[in-house]
Amino acid sequence: MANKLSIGRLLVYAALALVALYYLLPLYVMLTTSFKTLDDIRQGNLLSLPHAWDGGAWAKAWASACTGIECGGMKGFFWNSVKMTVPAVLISTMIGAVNGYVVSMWRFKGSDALFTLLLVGCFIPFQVVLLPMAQLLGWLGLANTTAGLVLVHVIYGTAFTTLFFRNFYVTVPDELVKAGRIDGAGFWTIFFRILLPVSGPIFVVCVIWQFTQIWNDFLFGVVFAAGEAQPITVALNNLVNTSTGVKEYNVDMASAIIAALPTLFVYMVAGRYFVRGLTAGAVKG
Amino acid sequence: MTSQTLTSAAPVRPSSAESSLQRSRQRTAWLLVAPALVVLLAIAGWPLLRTIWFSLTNAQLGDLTQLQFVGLDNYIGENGVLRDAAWWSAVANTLRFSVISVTLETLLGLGVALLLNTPSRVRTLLRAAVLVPWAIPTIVSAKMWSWMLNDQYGVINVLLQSLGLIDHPLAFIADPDLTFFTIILVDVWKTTPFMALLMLAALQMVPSDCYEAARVDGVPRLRVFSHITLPLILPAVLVAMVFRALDALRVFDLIYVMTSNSRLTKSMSVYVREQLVDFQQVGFGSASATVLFLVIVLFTAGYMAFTRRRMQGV
Repeated sequence: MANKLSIGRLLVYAALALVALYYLLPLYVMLTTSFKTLDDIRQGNLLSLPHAWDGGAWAKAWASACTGIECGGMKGFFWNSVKMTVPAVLISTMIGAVNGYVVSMWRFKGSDALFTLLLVGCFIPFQVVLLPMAQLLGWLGLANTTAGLVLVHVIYGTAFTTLFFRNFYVTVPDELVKAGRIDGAGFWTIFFRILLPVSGPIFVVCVIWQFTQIWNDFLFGVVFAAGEAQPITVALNNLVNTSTGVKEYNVDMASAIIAALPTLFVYMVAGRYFVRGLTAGAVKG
Repeated sequence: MTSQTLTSAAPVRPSSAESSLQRSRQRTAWLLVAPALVVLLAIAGWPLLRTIWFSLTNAQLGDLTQLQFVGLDNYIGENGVLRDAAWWSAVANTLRFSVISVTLETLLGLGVALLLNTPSRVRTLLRAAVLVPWAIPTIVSAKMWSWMLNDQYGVINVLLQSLGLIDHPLAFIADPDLTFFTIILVDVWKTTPFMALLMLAALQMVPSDCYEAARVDGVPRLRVFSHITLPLILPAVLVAMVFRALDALRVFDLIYVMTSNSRLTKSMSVYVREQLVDFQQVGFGSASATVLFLVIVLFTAGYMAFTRRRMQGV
């Protein structure tokens, strides 16, 4: 029966093939184009493989492509993004862990209100706070600096991390905490000795989530960090929109892949745990 | 995330009788945490209040010190945002975008999740691979699709032409009839994997004995899905939809990068940015920002009221 090639089955396969094409084609085109020479792009079919795999576009994208008037490639901006993302992810995750712990312990009638507040914090459109935030950064002397971006990302990332940790800690069996209390463990001992050791899954979820959000952010970068401190997403946009000279699609594509690599790397290393963490959060509910 | 990880205002730890020692310890902890929280709230909340204040003035970006209080003029005055046809068109665009994209992403995501939920060796690999579009920065995927959909050299046009489906290249991004569809196409590409993952997590929670019982009774596949699977995963699906919808309502990057300030696709967030930055109308722009903020708050509050009612009902 499983081998019967019914029309329904054919339709399912056709749909699957279409979906696969929809998903893989963009990635395929981007990757192959980045390894082609400009001549190859002009003469060949967009779907064909490169005649000779050429890394020139990658070298140029990394070290000497022009973004606006600067011609130093993506490498400086890449490191800007690293310097912005790593501290912001770590700080917001740690604050989120402590906040989540406190909030999960908090029994009071207004917990719904607090929860609503957190949700609004998660989904606030950043345009709403853009201008005053720029002023604030100016007063703090952090305008156009990576430190300023870190601050902004920590502030607006903490709503999400708090929510994650709260919902995770609420599902930790009460007996664990009670047993700790009976043994005389204080507020912090319970946190460090009992809760943190079981928090692995939610840490992974948080770190991946925050890394993706912060590395991929465009709006904060474009508004709060002109010039030197620009993150790579903004630099990429400038690079692609630079209209002087010949349009070098291979360099554009290579730069785009460079901008996407760190998040892809994080998913490859920790993706499995991400799914597991998501499921773990729910299993215990 | 799953219903648990992301949401659920639900169970607060049941209160138990506490010793006064315990309570004083908690108070100490609070004293330690509170200052950090206050600072955080202040830095997060102050810009919001300031935006609301700006919205009541005629401030311009050039000189923010020269401003006059104008009351609700920016909202309901003659040239107020609520009387601006462009604003309402942005609202309509955003709503249309949210409804269509979230619906498509839910349906497609459910399909992908069901596929991934059938046990196989490649599944583990697929589960990680399927997240690639979601991991890629929006700006990269927006650019990538812009290249592919270009009417002169774009690979999609080449492909469609060589298949004989169209006889002249389509201007996916410039053509008023197509540009909205294009935005949806890219958003679905980017976000469906994430929806699929959330639903997969829900699917894996369905106890396998439910399926076994159904198999023993010889229940047809479709009925198993509609009578067992769907009701059990529905709460998680709803949560995922609400979160996607909240995210869709503030959509910015994708539309801004692909079509810039085109009126045909302009979302509320793009409109606000244009007023604030391009037109330098801080007062008016802040008013539209405040309205946008209220839309999000209303939606969130509605969601909270809905979940609370449902929880009491069950």
